[in-house]
Amino acid sequence: MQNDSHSTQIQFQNHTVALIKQNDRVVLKKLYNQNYKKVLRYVLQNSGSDQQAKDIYQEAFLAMWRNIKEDKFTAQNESSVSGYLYQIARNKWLDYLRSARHKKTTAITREFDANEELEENEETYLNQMKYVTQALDQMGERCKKVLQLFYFEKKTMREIALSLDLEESSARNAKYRCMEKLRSLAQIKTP
Amino acid sequence: MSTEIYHNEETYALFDSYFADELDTEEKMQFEQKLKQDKSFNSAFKEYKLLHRGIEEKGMQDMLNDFQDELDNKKKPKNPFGYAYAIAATLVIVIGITAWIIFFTQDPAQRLYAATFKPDPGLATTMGEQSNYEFFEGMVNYKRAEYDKAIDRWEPLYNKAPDNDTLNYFLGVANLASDKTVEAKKYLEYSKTQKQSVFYDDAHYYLALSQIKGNELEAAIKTLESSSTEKSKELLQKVENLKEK
Repeated sequence: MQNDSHSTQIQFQNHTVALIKQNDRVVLKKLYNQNYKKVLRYVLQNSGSDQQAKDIYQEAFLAMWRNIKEDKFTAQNESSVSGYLYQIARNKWLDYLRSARHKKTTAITREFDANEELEENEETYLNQMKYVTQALDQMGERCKKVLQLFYFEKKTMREIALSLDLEESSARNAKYRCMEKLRSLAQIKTP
Repeated sequence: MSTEIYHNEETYALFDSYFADELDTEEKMQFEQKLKQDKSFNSAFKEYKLLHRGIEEKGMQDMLNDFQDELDNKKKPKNPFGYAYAIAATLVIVIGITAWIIFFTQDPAQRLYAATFKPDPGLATTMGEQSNYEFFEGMVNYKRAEYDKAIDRWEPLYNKAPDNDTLNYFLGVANLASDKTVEAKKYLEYSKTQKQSVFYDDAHYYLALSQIKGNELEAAIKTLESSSTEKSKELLQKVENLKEK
């Protein structure tokens, strides 16, 4: 979907997309803060509460992040990440309104977007993620920190070693042992 | 499919490298070949990816909760001056704690440090050049006293340009401001060697402060003796007085 006349914008967007893939705190925070009010307003105007707006917004934000990581979302213009996030939040809220408690609501139309259509294995994926995140909660602080610094914050082993006051080789070994521990706690098995 | 034989440090390190796209073309080809041919290897890699992603999911969840908390807390002040009051209250507390440290801490070196240390005011943050964007975003954090965030932004830049005098200097001061004395010293020691740098004298001053903080008074005196600014001389005098006591 690339368009040469928009190449600068696309470049900018790709930069943002690359930073999102790296879990860049500053870019993600900016996106989060920029779009929250809009989603909050939408949910409140459509018979939702403050808390429901927060929940749906975080769900949508995670879905956006996952899709960007999986390359399921192609940037089209400068504000498209924000637009995409809003669209997911809106659709999620509409789905919620149409779910069990609100079966009778038929007047609301929902824009269909193939990109965020539930995939068959999405449920399996979310379940597996739940096992891993729960397993992380059971781990010691130090292990959790090593894994978070390396796999989430993308810090180098040198930086991690420095911040934990370890030799780099010990930090590497600690990371491996913590991964193994996480694997056994989460009971991850692939077919 | 048993994946046991691939549960070792080397294989995890290989997975890390592949995932971070750090393998060369040849290694990458071999890796992908193995994924196709060796089912255990393939399963082990899948397990690794799930764990990796799970850690990221958890990180994201925690981070989004942080963002939301910050948004919620910002809204709390009920009048337009609420925020200013919050800052004023924080300042009073900070001043109170500092005063407490100065007057009641037993260690005279710590007292001197607490009474003297003020972070460098930082550089003007005009967002001109694209290449400096990250650096100046970090400077914005630094000026807001968000030293850890500033450090997070600057460290990757430092890894690419460990000789950069500006980065060394501000990473040093930011680490010192967030009480990471060991790291602060590492950066400032390096700044001290860069004689052409505009930060040469200031690096001496802050290095000396980090040495005072670590009770290394002899080292602090030595550092201050090779700096000629007024504030270094003044600090030198104080350290010498302290030693005489």
